[in-house]
Amino acid sequence: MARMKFLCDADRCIECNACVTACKNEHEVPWGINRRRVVTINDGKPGERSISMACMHCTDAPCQAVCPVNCFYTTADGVVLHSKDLCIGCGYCFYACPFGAPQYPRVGNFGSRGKMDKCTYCAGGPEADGSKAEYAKYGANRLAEGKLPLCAEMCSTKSLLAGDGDVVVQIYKERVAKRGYGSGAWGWKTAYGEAIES
Amino acid sequence: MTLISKFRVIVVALALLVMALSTQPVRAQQPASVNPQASAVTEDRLFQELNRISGRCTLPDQKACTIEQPAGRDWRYFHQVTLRWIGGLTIIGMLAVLIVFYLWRGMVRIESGRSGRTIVRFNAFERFVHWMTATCFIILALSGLNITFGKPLLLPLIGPNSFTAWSQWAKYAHNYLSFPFTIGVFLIFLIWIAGNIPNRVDIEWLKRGGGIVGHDHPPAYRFNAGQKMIYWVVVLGGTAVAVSGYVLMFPFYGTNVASMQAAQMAHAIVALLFIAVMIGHIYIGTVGMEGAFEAMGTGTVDLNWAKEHHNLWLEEEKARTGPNKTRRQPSATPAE
Amino acid sequence: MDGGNGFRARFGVERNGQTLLAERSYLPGSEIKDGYPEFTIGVLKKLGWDKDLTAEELAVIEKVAGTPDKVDTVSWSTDLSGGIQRVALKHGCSPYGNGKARTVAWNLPDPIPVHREPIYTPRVDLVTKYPTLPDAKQFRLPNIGFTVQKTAVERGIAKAFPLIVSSGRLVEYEGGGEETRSNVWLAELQQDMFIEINPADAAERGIKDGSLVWVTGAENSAKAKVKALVTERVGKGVTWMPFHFGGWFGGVDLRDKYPKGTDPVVLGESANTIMTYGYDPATGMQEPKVSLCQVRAA
Repeated sequence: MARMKFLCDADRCIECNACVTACKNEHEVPWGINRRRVVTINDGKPGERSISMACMHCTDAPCQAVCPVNCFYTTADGVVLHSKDLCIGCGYCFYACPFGAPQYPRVGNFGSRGKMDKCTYCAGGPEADGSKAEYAKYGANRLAEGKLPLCAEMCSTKSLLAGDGDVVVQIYKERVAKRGYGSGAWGWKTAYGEAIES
Repeated sequence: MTLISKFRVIVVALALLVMALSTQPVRAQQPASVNPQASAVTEDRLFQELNRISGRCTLPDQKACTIEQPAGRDWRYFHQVTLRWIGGLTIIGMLAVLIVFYLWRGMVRIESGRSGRTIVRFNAFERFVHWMTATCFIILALSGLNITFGKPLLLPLIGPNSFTAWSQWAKYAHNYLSFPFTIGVFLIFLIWIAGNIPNRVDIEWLKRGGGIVGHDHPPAYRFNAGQKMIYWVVVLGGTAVAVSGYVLMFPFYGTNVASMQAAQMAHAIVALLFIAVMIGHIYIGTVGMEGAFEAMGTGTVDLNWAKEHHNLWLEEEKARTGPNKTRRQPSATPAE
Repeated sequence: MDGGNGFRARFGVERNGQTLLAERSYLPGSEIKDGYPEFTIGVLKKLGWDKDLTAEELAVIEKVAGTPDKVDTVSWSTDLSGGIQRVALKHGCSPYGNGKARTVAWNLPDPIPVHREPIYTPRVDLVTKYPTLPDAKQFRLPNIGFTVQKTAVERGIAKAFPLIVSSGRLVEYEGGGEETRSNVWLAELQQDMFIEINPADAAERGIKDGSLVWVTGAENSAKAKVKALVTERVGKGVTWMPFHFGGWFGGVDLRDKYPKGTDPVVLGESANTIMTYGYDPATGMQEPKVSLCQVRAA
């Protein structure tokens, strides 16, 4: 079975935010919830790099580990999803996540957290695939239709790669070999616990 | 071969050689194989040095501008492993110690027996403050323990839907009861600060182990050294959990993820120790000592109990109010 | 054509005794192995290729011409049947001719680009040597750029407005911005109008990243209130503003002036509020790309 992963090639990202807009539109993500976002480091200086960041769907996901109500689950292809019905909005997944993926609507008591929302790898949630209930809570389920996440499909420079981890690594390695440089797959080691061998 | 034909051969050979060389593929200036993760080593070191990698993004939420916060990994280990060990050891440890102690020592009795005469120890307001704070504490403790221990201990027993329903209500209770609890702690601080300043009598009391074993009755004022320790644990510990708790309850109002993690760690550690100490307090106030509960239950205590455990306070009270302040407890049998 | 066509023979066949048609350069597969002018019926007749036109095409061509003596003037660009283009392409030729690329644009105000200082320039010392074009009538209006430039130097405008302000695009928005700023997905990504300012310039003015600033323009006491984005993206002495915003004017939020339901999600100052006089010498297009400004903390 393929193990799904994300890889954002920081040397190609032009911070066009197409990935962000695609995700927002596809899942009708409300204002203030940032499932995916583009961050630029060394802005304006030599070595400026941009990277598109969302849930990395980690192996041994820290969010899953710390959740007090065990609302997370990992699918057969390695996608980390959660149930909004079980979530109590405690916020611990955000403290544990190295990438800041969990997002919360400000609707809880004292203006704090409602149910956690995050990138689903376009794989929906525990509801039936493609059902209205699933869309209302989690957004579109593209994986069930055999499609890849829309952010990577929409990436204007193909810096954001999504799909079978082995295929993604192969593409990235070929790319780096051909052009002769690479900043490395940022976050890969943290998320999947392995380095990309040359 | 003529000179000209030799020359032609050389020219052709050179031409062939040049052609052969020029058909080599033009290679870009790159090493034979490039390690795509060459900078991953520096990335690792970067993460160790900084506790957060962040940059600029166009979103107004500053949290979105963080690429990676490696500290989350340390916090996860703390929450899943360290905290559970702390909690397990302190709470189960305290329970074990108390059970063993009770089995060996039994209840501390009023040695001279009940006199049948009582004296007021805590007035209605004091009792109200104590019970409001105590009840809140119990619920806060249980709902708080649920966050750390509920998943391994309770969830397997009642299943995910019931567990979430219980946890959701526990979270609301925890958040809302924090207010009366904080008010209670503050009032406790005010109403009993006068009697809880440590003095020489406390040193003597401590030296004699409070008389917890044997038949010693070291002198004590209204609050003995043990109670003073409880007082300060409540005031200081209560303040600590309140402050860290409010930071947690209003997330990112002036804090970032690192301070939220720190607040959670402080809140959890103090709370666990607080719970362990309160178990001891509850023990001595209930099964641990005869005549203790009524102090906070009805507000009055037996004179002999007062004489044995808080003689200096009793004398002060008598001197202040005269001998008529004691009351005869109504006798159980009706007058004939 | 596979691989593209050559240069258009736009300006005729000769000028000052020199040929304007391509020499020794032609498309692969071209039947004319030389330069050639734009295709008209007259050219086709000279080549004998007019016989390749169909009757229907000829009928249209005659209609376009109007009178029979004008048929020869119908060109590839006026022939509504497309026949001239078809025949030219059929013979491997480019319908618009095969001319030389020119470097001297003899019909433009500066045939070869020369340096001219902008009307509002911080380098007043260069204006005498590199002035802008003389005042002239342009289409139906006067273009008095020279006078405005001279006046700006005399009045010392560059001292009061020392920063170059340039304008440009954001990837999230488009054009005037009313549509894209009404799209919630895009609007969330750029919620405030801003000016990019170099850290050195910001430090001199006590401006912090994200704080509000007043940007004042060199004409008409123009002012705009925007957020400061302190960044190395712009060099010292240069600032940059995006031009997609609207709905604020001179520091005043005009949201209540929009008809109900039409106000975009995001409003902001319009960059053009503080732009200044200037019209492109060839097209007459306004000059909102660059000017001078001053920035101070709000």
